[in-house]
Amino acid sequence: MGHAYKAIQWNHHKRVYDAVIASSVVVFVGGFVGVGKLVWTGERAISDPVLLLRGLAVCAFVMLHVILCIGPAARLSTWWAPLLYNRRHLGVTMFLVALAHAALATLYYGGFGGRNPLGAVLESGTFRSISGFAFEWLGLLAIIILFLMAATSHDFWLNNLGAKVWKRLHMSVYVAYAAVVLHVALGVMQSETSPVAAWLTLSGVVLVATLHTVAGVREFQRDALAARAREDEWIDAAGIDEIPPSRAKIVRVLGCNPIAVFRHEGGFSAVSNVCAHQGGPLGEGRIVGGCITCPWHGFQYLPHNGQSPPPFTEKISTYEVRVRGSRVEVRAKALPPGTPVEPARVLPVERVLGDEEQRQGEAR
Amino acid sequence: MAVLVVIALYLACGLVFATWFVGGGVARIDRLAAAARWWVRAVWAPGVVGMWPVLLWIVVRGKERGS
Repeated sequence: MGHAYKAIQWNHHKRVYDAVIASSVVVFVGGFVGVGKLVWTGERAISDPVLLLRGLAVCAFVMLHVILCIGPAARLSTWWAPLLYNRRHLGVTMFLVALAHAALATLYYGGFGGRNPLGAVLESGTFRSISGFAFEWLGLLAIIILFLMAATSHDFWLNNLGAKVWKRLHMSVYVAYAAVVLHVALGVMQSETSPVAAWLTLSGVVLVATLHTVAGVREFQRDALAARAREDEWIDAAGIDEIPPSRAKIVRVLGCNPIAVFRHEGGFSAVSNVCAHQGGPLGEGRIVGGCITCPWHGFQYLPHNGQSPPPFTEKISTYEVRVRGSRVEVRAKALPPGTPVEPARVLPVERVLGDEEQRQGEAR
Repeated sequence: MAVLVVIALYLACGLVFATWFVGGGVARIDRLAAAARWWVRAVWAPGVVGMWPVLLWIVVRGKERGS
C-alpha cells in the first residue's frame, strides 16, 4: 500500500496463490507434452519442441481465459473472490508463458536460416488470403500488449500514470484477447483436421462473452434499484440478519459512490465501496484481522474510520450508521476520508421497545 | 523489415531513458520512488523501456505524483 515501494507485496495468501499458479503451469505444460506424445504417434507424431511450444500456447490461452472470467464471475458469486485477489501475478505469469511460446516458436520456425529469426517468421505469411495468413503478426500484437500490461502492473505505475490512464491501458487486454483468438483461428486451426481445437476456442469465447454480459446486466439491474436520497437522509440498508459477520451489504444511492455496510464484532460500520487503490469493490471483500480487505489486491481499511492500518496512509470515506429495530440504516452523506464513526450497535430488545414506546408517546 | 527496425529503435531509446530514469531520474516525478531499493527499481525497468515517451512527458511536465 502507499507507504514504501516493494518489489513484490507478498503475504501468506499471495505466496500460496503464486505457488499454485507456478505448479499448475508446470503440471499443465508437462501433462500436455506427456499426453501429446502418447496420443500423436506414428505418422501424426509431433516433435518435442513443437509439442512444448503448443503446450505453452494452450497454457497461456487457458490462463488468459481464467483472467478474463475471474472479474465477472466474482461479481456474480463471492466464491470466485479468492482467485481475483492476486490476479496481477496470474497476469504476469501468463505473459511469461506466452513469451516463452513466442520465443520458442520464433527460434524453431525462423532460426535455421541466416536471417533474423523474427523477421523470417513475420515474413512467412500473407495478408491476401485466409490460408497462409500472416497470423504471427497477431501474436506479436498480443505479446506487445501483454508485455506493457505485465511491465506496468506494479503500484509505481498506478501512482504515476494515474488510475484512469492505468485502467485504460489494462483494458487493452480485450484487444490482446481478440488478437490471440484470431492468431489461433488463422494459425494452428488452418492446419488442424480435428474440430476439437475449434470447438474449445469457440467455447472459450462464448464463456468470456456470456460471463461479461450476465455480470453487466446484473450490475445494470442493481444500479436501476439504487435509492434516491438527499445527502442528509437516512437510507434503509438491510435487516441486521441480512449481513453475515465480517461481510458487507452494498447500498447504492443515485449519483453517489456505492456504500459498503460491514458487520464486525457485533456492530455495523459503513465506508465507501470504492477502494483507494484501484477502485475495487470493498463490499465484496470481507474483514480479515479486523480490517476490511479489498477482494482485488488485499488493500486494507479499519471499519470504524476508513483508514489503512499504520504505516499505510490510504483513506476512504466513512458514513454514519444506526440501527433502528431490526434494520440497519446509513446516512447518504459521505464524510471526509478517514473520519472516525462509532459503529452502530444492536440495542437490547427492552431498550428498543422502550424507545419505540417513547416515540409513540411523543407522536401522540 | 521496416517495422522491426522501428521497434528496435524505439526500444533502444527506451533503454537509454530507462538507464537514466531508474538510476535516479525517477525522483523527479515520485518522491517515494527516490527511496526505493535498486531491485525495486529493476522491477520498473522493463515498463520504463516500453513506456518511455509517457514518462518523458511526465518528467518534462514537471508535476510530481505518487508521493
